[in-house]
Amino acid sequence: MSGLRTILAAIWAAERRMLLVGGAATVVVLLAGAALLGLSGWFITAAATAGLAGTGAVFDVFRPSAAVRLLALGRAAGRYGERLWTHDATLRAVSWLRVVVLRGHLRMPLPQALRLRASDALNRLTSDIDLLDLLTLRFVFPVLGGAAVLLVVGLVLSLLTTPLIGWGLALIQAFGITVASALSLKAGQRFASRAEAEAQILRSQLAEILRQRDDLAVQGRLMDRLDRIGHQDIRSRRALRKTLHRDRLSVLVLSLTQIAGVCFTLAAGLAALRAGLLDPAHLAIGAFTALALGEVAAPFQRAFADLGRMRDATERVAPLLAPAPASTALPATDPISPRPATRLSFDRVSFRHPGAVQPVLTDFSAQIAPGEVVALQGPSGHGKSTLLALGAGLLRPDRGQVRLNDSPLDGLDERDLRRTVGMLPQRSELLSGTVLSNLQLAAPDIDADEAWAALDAAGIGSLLRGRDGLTTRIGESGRGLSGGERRRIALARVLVRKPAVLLLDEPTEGLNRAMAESVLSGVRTFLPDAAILTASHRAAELSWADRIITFK
Amino acid sequence: MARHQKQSNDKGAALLRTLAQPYRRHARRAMFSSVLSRLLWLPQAGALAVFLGGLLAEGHDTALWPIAAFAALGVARALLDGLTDLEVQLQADRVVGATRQDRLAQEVRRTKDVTRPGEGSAALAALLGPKLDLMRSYLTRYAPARARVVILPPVILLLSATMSWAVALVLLVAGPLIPVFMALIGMAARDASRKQMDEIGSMNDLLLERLMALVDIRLLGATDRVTDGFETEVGNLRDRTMAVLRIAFLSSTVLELFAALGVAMVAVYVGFSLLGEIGFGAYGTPLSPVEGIFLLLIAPDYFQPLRDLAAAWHDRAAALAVADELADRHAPTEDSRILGRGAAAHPTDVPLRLVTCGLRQVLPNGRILRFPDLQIGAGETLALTGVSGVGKSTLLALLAGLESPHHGAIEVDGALLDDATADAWRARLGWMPQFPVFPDSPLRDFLTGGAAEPDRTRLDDALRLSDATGILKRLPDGLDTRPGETGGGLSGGEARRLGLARAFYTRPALVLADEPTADLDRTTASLITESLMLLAQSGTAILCATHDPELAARLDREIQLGDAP
Repeated sequence: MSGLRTILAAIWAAERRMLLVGGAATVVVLLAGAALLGLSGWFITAAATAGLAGTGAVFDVFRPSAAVRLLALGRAAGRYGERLWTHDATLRAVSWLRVVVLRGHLRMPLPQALRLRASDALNRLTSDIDLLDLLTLRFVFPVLGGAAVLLVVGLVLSLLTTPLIGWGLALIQAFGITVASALSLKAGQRFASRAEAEAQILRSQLAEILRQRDDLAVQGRLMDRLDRIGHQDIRSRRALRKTLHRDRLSVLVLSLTQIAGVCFTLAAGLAALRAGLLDPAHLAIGAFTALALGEVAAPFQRAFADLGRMRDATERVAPLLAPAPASTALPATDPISPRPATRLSFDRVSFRHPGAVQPVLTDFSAQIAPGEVVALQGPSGHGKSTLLALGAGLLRPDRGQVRLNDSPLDGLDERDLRRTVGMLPQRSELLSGTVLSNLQLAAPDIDADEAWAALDAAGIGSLLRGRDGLTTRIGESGRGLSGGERRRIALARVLVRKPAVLLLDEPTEGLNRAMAESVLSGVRTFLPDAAILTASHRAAELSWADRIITFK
Repeated sequence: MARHQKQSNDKGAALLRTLAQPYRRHARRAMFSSVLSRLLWLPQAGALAVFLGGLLAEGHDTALWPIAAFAALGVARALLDGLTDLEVQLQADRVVGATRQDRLAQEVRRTKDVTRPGEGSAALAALLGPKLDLMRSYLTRYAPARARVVILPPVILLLSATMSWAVALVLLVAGPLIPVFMALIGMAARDASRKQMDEIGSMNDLLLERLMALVDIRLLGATDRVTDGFETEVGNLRDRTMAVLRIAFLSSTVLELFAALGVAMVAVYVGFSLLGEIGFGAYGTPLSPVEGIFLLLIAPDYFQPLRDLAAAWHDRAAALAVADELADRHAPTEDSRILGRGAAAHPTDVPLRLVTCGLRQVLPNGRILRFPDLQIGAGETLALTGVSGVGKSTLLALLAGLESPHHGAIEVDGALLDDATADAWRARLGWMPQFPVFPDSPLRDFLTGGAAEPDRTRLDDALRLSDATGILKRLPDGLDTRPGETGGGLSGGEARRLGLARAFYTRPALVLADEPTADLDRTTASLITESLMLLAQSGTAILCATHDPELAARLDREIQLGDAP
């Protein structure tokens, strides 16, 4: 439960006001519903009593009938407010949650962040957060609101009728709701999580058979695989059916509770009537209110049915909740100033990927002087990208040291490191927006001339001039641009920071030879004094380099 | 646009009906029990009214049977509701299960569309997986709600009319107005949401994009700027969403308002006429207390079915969207499906012989690919060259029976390659796609083709011959590593060497390889070429589609596509 508690407490701390407003609206609407039925029942029964007694002329009809209309209108309007406020509160909670998750990820140790790129982890995360979106709307409001309403109804009825009726009815409802919720919760824990897991397996099997169709067909395993999916589908549906059986049982308990509540009220009312404690009109209030309580109880079942899955999700998301920044020492604007010339050196560096048997680098040493271009060459998987990641501080060497001039990389704070070292990773993602907004991500104060200079150096300037210039739109994950165009904009984004050390991983991937050469010479002219280290197997880059280090 | 929308909805709705047709037995039972349960509320309300009326008329000596009747009817209704739920869930379960099986069996035999390479298996997997489940809510909530709307309001209206024409009039006026106003406001909400929601995407997309760019953001030192920007964007998105919801919620508020006003007017009318203040509205004799209480109790149920239907409305929209997507995927024809079933078969043991004659293929975009005739015998090696798009990959797929030839014929081992022979032919093949896809299972399975008891020595040999031993040493769990999807931590060259290792292990009679050396550095490309030559020396025939002149030069023959007659 600790994950759930952490997240609820955090949401409460962040959005207290809207939660209170939404919760109050929920309570008011539920109460108005109960009051409307209770009052109508009283009004009619009292009117009939007066009519039968011939005292209709002195019966005050106007206040009760006005109250009935007022409650009816008020309830409809209140419902509108309730929907708006609870949704607003929920949206606030979910957007807050996303900001916090993003912040948590941006502070994560880098090796961990690198691993997260696998799409499975990201999909899992977003589906968890989606589920938590329901936390306030489906759980917090109906459960807390419903409990409050039961208390108020018990109190008011015990004053209007007898304490036995008021508190007895509230107790019966509370008991029924507890039983139903416990059933749903248990079903959720035992079956719903199971159903979810089975469905997850089915989903990945579906994706796999479709992705690997050709392979499976050539291996003669397609039919086997179809059968296996058929069995998995049956398992997954069976688990779901079990969950639904339990939920059905829990709904049945709630219906029976409502009937028991009404019958109890009628019986206890009749006894009170015989004892002279109650008149028929007040008994009607009790009976009609007991009927109305079904509306209060129903959401509990849903809330507890989902609680199991929500709790699993909170356990995974809660560790990501990072505290808000303690100080805002980092300025939002971060003027780019030319950095002093810097030498990058690797001193007897060794690195082994976690879990791997053999180290990918052993006692590797090299120096890249300011103004020098060094290319790394060698078969894939032999440590070129790893070396760049070590140079950028994305990974830490197991042994040895990486230094900028004479200071070890470990000793630098993140901000200084990022100002000195620029890196274009093998896979670089643009954010949707415009070309300019992407460059501003790297250099917030950039002006148009600087932006164009970097874009020209990256060999994309003339193409963008033919489109919408700096305001050329970039769609989600770079949609609207070709791979080569994306690559060059990402390169320009690194260049605008004018790094003293530039690390490039396959910078001209997807460009033809002539274009590749013009981009590379553009980079050199743009940053004449930078120490440049590039990983590459292309001739254009190898001939561009002053020196080549070959990996074997 | 509107008409197009309508047509496509009709298509989806028709498909939904077809899919549900075989299981309509459940649906009929569910509708019956659901309507019956609501109808039983009438006598149940009657029992309560009789009891309260009895208290008024006879004091506390009134009969107790109405309480018993109320309870018994209530229990019966609760059970009927449970039955309804059981039946609709069963129907939904079977419809979804059967649709998934049928559609999957269809889709796995469909030929890949080379003109639309982006149309991915992921979207299809989403459609057949989670999206199909969206039809459940439609089947379980919408269909029974619609049955109730058709039957209950008229019954309650008639019943009220037998006691009081005034009450019936109130219901008659309030009822039909509801759909009219809801439709008006619903349209406004749709317009508003279409204008705004479409272009802004969801909070999840915004988050996902930033998480994908996590490393770039760190490298650019943009952590705080991105967080601040994201906070603002998410805030704006929330404001715009609320603007849409403000209108969208109006629709259900109108429904509530009319329902509440209708019930309140019935209550006030009944109250006044019981007092004797109002003389009209009933027939002859004034309304009795029992009738009055009864009318008040059943009035909300006149509106309830409409509210249920409105609540299930978006279930219908979601199900129709899925059905539309399904309806757009027609069953593959003879021309657009693979040959054979893809089942396990015994390979023939005659010497390998592959002959093609007059092959022509029509692409979905209408372009026609013509292929020169070719022949391959045991142990021969052949390069297929030609510019991109000339049909190299299509020819490989044809030779593997993964496409059916539109014109011409392929003869394998002396028989025509068709549905009957394809599975046995493929049992002789090794398949090396340009981008090997790895299953989410241990590498051992990938390498041995899922053999139950892999031969360890043979596997070691295969890894050595394909120069892949080192790759496994680097992997955290060796043969137990699950590379998943696109190869996880494996580079392109490593993935292909593992593909080769698989070919060495299974020792096929013919390997079909698509661009085995593309996008690789020279060293790695040479390694792959040498391994392929080793494989050929062991007696395997090899057919490579390639751009690589060095690889082509090493093979016995080269056939250039694109200049065939």
